[in-house]
Amino acid sequence: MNRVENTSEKPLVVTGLGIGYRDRGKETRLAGTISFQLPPGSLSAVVGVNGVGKSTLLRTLAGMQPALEGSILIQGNPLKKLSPGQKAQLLSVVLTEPLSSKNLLVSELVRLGRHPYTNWLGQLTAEDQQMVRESLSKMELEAIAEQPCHTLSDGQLQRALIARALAQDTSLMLLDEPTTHLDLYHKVKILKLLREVAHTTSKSILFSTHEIGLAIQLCDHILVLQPGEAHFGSPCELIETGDFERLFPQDTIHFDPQSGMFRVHK
Amino acid sequence: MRVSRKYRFALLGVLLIVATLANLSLGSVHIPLADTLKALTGAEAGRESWGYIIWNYRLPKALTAILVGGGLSLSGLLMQTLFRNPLAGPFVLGVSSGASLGAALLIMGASLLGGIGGGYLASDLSLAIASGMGSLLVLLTVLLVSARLKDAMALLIVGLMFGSITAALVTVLSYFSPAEQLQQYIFWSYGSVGNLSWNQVGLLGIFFLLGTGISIALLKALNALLLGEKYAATLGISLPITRNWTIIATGLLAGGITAFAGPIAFIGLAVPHLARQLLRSQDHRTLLPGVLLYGGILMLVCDMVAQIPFSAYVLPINAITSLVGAPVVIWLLVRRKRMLF
Repeated sequence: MNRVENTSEKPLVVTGLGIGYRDRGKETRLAGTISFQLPPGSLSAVVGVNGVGKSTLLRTLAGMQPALEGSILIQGNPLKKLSPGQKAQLLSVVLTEPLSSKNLLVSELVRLGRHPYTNWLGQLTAEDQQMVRESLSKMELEAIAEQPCHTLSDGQLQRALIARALAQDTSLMLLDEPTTHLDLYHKVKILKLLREVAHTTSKSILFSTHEIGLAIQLCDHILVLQPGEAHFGSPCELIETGDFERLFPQDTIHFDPQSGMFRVHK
Repeated sequence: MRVSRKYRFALLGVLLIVATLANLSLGSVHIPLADTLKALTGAEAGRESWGYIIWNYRLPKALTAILVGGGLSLSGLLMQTLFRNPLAGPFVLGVSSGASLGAALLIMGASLLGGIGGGYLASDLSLAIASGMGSLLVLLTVLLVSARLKDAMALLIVGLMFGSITAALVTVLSYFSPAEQLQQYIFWSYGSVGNLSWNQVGLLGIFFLLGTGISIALLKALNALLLGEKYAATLGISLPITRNWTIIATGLLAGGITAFAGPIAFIGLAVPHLARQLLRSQDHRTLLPGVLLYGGILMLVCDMVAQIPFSAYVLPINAITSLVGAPVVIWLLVRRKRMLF
């Protein structure tokens, strides 16, 4: 399959995007009008309360559901005009849904990430094998590469899924809540690995999360979704503009700009 | 790991040859193995009739058993992957119920329509055509419905519903049928791998090759489906195209087989699991040849049991496949304590 041309430096440019659902002519709109750009080699988070549209945004960016309005450019290509094969070479995803076959070996799972580049039978070339090995090693999975996925812990499985997306070798990676079900140590571990990958490989990684405190410490940019609004910026900028303070009802939780943490009102 | 998989494939290959030879030499007439081999290589067998029996009766039957076993197992594998369901088999989309409706209409419908063919009994070939048409009709309906459904699970339920409708129609037909026709229908529903002429075996072979060919073209997409439909889509796999061709391949295999051999239970459900256990792989490039070989072997063995060696009795093969196969699956599951899927 032919590689898609990179016509722009920016892995993702979103302009005036409206997300939500259309069912029998009735439109349900989530969040506000969203505009942002991800530079290469950056780690960014999408935060917001439950139901504000984090997953919907990621699905829309991945082309799994249509946008209500606005434009999405992936490496300068309009998402709508890309064929499924081209899309698979430009963006990879890690979803919350479980794998169909839990009996896949970790190495088999990661090898499937090379699908957009292999021949009609799915045979891996030496280059593909090399990419699989690198992905396994970046996610520290060498020791468990030949284990079936059902024997893995939640943290290991998440790393295996990320390794599969890495093997897909795309400039943009989208992850839906990669840190849920994990303890604090493993949350931090996953996010640090993602940060390292983003900074060393010039990929843009965008993930949704409820871990705002960790996102503030580890991400280059954060997209804050609120009903009717969306703000994008570096953690410091967003703290200054008070976006985190408005995220939750003030009488229950308030944001402490000094420490970058949320405090509970007792 | 690679090497041991090669050995396991070699084992399957050897077993298939052994099972074929054993199948050829067993039957109501005892023919020594040496004479069986002689007859096969074109040399003079001990008696003239032996060569005739081998070439015109047992060899087509053995070939049919291999095609039936392999083809049903492959369509079972396709359905299990498409529906992500270890309980799916070749007939979940209503192929066999469509075939049984076709056969029932031919055998019992005639007497309903004013007794034109009062004592008439359907021939084997017309039965094959009628059940084939029945399968095709159900399959086309399923394809039409599937275009309107997003979810593979919904399609599975639609297939089951078609099965219920056709079963009900067959019940109504049999309620009004005379005993003779009813008996012929029941005998059809027992299934049989014998009674096929060389021409019919050739026709079955064409269905088998078409279905297998399409499956080979689908291998890459099937492997992507192991991740789930959403992941497969993000790998550039077109879900509607994959789904339609998988249904067509299953229809050609299971429909063609049911037309010529009647409904044969169990093999298609069990063999993909047995092959996964033996070959320790989920990769369809390994499993496809695996289920073809394994299915052929199991069907040959079932046919030998159904023949009851050295006697003139032949048991219904449809019952034998379950009687032989089900304990094997239970034993494997208990031994490994889990279902590989």
